[in-house]
Amino acid sequence: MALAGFLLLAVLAVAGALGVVLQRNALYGALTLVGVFATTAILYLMLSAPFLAAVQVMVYAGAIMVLFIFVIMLLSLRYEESGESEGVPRGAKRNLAVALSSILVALLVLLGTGLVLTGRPGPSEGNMASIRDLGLTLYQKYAFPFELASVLLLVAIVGAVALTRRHGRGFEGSVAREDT
Amino acid sequence: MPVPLAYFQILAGVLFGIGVMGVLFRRNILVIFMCVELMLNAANISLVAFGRALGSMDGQVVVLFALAVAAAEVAVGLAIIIDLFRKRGTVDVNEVNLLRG
Repeated sequence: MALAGFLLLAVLAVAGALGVVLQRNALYGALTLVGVFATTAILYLMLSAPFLAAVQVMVYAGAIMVLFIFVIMLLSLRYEESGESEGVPRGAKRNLAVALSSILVALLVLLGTGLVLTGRPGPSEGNMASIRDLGLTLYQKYAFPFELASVLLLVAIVGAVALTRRHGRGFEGSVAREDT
Repeated sequence: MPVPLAYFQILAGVLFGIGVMGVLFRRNILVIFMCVELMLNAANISLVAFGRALGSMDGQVVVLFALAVAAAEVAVGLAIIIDLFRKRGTVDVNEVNLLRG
């Protein structure tokens, strides 16, 4: 039963991921990526990580993808402008890309099957980890990295604002940007 | 019957590989960026599955930090892409050679 559910979710996730890569329109790619993140959230539930599932939906499928779609629509690229009207790379380049990525996938799958053969115990049914445990681990063992993460987010906010700020009227850099 | 750990790892590996393929194939920088997110997501699945198998919370905590870093990365990355589009009028990675690469 759980296995059938997992297989269904896995097929959905892989299909969504292929959609991101193969979809010509970036906006449709973003929408299939939302699907991948949603199926990932359900996988987290199967792995008894309910808090991560909620955070996945809110942060990834919510905030991050809204930001992506916002930027895609802000730039409102036509297909010719996205640089892909000449199609995906042809010839040797394409073969090399296919070979490299298939070797990588083969290695990762081999690693996974190695886990089957060595008989690593599967996710145990017992000791259902609770959100309380997660909180205790986060605030006791990882208290300092947690604080550092807040600094990182603050720096990212400041950086994003500084990068996209128009050097418009009233600022000393008003001419520097316009003539490029 | 619980799903074996290996199945989660194989799924994570396949998703990661598809992400790599997207980064290698596509030239639209926005799509490349989304493929990077896909790879991060695959790594997160792997971490949570291992953490569950080992019965420890550390895997989930690492995923939380990865989420925070991904959020920061997206904010700065999309800001760079917007600035790049303003300067060059394109999101084709082959056209962008500001660093003379």
